[in-house]
Amino acid sequence: MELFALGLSNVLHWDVLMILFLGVAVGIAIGALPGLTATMGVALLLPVTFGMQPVTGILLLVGVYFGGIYGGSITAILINTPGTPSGAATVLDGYPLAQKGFAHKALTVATLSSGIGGILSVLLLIFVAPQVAKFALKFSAPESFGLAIFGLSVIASISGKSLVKGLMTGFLGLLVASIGLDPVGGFPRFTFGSQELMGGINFIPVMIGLFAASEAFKQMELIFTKNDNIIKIDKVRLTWSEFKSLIPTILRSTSIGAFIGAIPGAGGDIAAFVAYNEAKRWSKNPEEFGKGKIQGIAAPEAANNGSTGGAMIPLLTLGIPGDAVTAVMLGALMVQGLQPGPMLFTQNANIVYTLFVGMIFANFIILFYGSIGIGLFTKVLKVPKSLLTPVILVLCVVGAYSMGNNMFDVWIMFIAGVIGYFMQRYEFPASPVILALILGPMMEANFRRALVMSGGDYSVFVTRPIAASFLVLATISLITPIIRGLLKSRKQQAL
Amino acid sequence: MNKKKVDFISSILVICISIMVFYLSLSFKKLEATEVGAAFMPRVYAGALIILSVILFVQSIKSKEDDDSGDFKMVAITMGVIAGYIVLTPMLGFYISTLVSVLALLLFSRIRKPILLITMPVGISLFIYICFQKLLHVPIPLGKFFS
Repeated sequence: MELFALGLSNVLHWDVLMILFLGVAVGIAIGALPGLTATMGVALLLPVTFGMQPVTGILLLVGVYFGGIYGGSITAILINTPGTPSGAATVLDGYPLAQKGFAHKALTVATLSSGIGGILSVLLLIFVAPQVAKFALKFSAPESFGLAIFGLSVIASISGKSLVKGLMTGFLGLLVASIGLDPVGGFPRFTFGSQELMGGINFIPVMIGLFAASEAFKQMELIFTKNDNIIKIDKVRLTWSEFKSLIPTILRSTSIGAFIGAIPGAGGDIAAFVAYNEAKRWSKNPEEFGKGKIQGIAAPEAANNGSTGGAMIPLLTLGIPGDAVTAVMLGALMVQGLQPGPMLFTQNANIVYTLFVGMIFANFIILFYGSIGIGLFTKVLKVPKSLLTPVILVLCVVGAYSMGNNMFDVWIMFIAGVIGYFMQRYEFPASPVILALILGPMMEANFRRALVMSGGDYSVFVTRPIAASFLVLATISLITPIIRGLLKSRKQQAL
Repeated sequence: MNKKKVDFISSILVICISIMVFYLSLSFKKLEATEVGAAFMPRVYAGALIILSVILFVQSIKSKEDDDSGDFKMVAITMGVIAGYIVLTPMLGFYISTLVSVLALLLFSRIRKPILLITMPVGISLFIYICFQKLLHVPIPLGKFFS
């Protein structure tokens, strides 16, 4: 307890607080811009931290990381473009709700879920870190394969009206994901001799094109209709009873997020989709998902911010980075002369607890910025479509370019945008493609790795309990929408 | 084209793609001791796609005719402008292409107010310059004619 007080006293200095406010603001801005991710933000600011005190430097990166994950939700809700991969699930209900005129409510839900989810995950980090870390370490290839399959099974519940079409776009996405060098042997697949294709199809330009550009193209259909030029904004606030209804979702999703974040190789993007799926599965009205259900916003946002605390668990307790961002932070800690791992807690306990308090503060700052920013953010929607659309399209081009500084990604974005427009028009769901691009390589690599490790023995997937559990969960995820659909059509036939 | 027709054509298209995937996968070398090589997963995907396409094919035949909605002309124009934007950028540089393309989009959207036609393209380019080039150090292409 005194360690907490010590940590608190360390954080409550002007310079530390200022750094936190600055970091979160920068993070939110970077996270909101499509094409720039939280990971990029942290990497960009790493050199800045070298000249700083250890704790202030790390807290700057923490602020950027946490803020970045939250920032992705803003553009996801307002313009159907996830600013970061972890926001990809937020578009499912965030954008429809905003389109109905409730952007204010949608952003409020996202802000509250992100902030609360983040705070809870830091508390989880503080109290159960060692146990979670031990569990996460049990993850080997079969388990990661199981997790990836479970993540992919979410496709069934985000396919909307047509499961067949959703699965089709999902598998097509998996095929696209296999373009390039194969993840285990390095053999070029479907590259047709092209140098660029050998690097594979980067999923962020696809995401920008599929969601933002295609939506922008679609808006041009109605550009000359008078009343569709401005969406009316209902300044309807989130009611207390609505908030209460979100609490179970937030708690469940934060746990999912923290757990998945703690697994090396799995991050906010997977956590968001799994949490969304679970929220839909546990809901009394699953068919309302995808049309603007607030639980559909709360779940992914609580999960992706929850994964930030979770990702810090293996980093701080074992010195193992869970993803790219924590790998950068590992570097930052080591540059400052701090060795993460069990020793960190004994030798530099005051620094660790200062970090904990700082992380909690960062999440409160997210709540702060969110509450004052929402009024500002919703003004974006008041801009007439004929003016907003060119801006969005330019951002798509720049964002896609910023990934790897080449025009190939921009063309990918454009093609994805054109295809995405037609997919939307003829009711082929786009979200399965993103899930497939994110999880396909992870799934295949771990599948083949697991088989190499077991010597070709397939039973490894059912004999290892964690892997088997994920596969069972995946099966349930896939079957539930099918059964529900069959029951509904039978009910309709009986009427 | 209405949905029924699109579903019909898409299912056939995907079957063709799946067959092509199978054909291409024949040349994938196996580098491991197990039977699961580089060709395995793509074949699984292609197989699943064939099954799904057949289902969609049957569904499309049984479904009702639907109207097609949405004016495509402006969409096509926008897509064309953006394609031109991407083609021009390596040659003229990003900022000039942005000015031209945004202006084109605004004009096609029947915006005529001079103040908008000037401030929008300039404003967007300025925003990109400040945020992406200066703050984030993204090397924005300046074009073959200027570098």
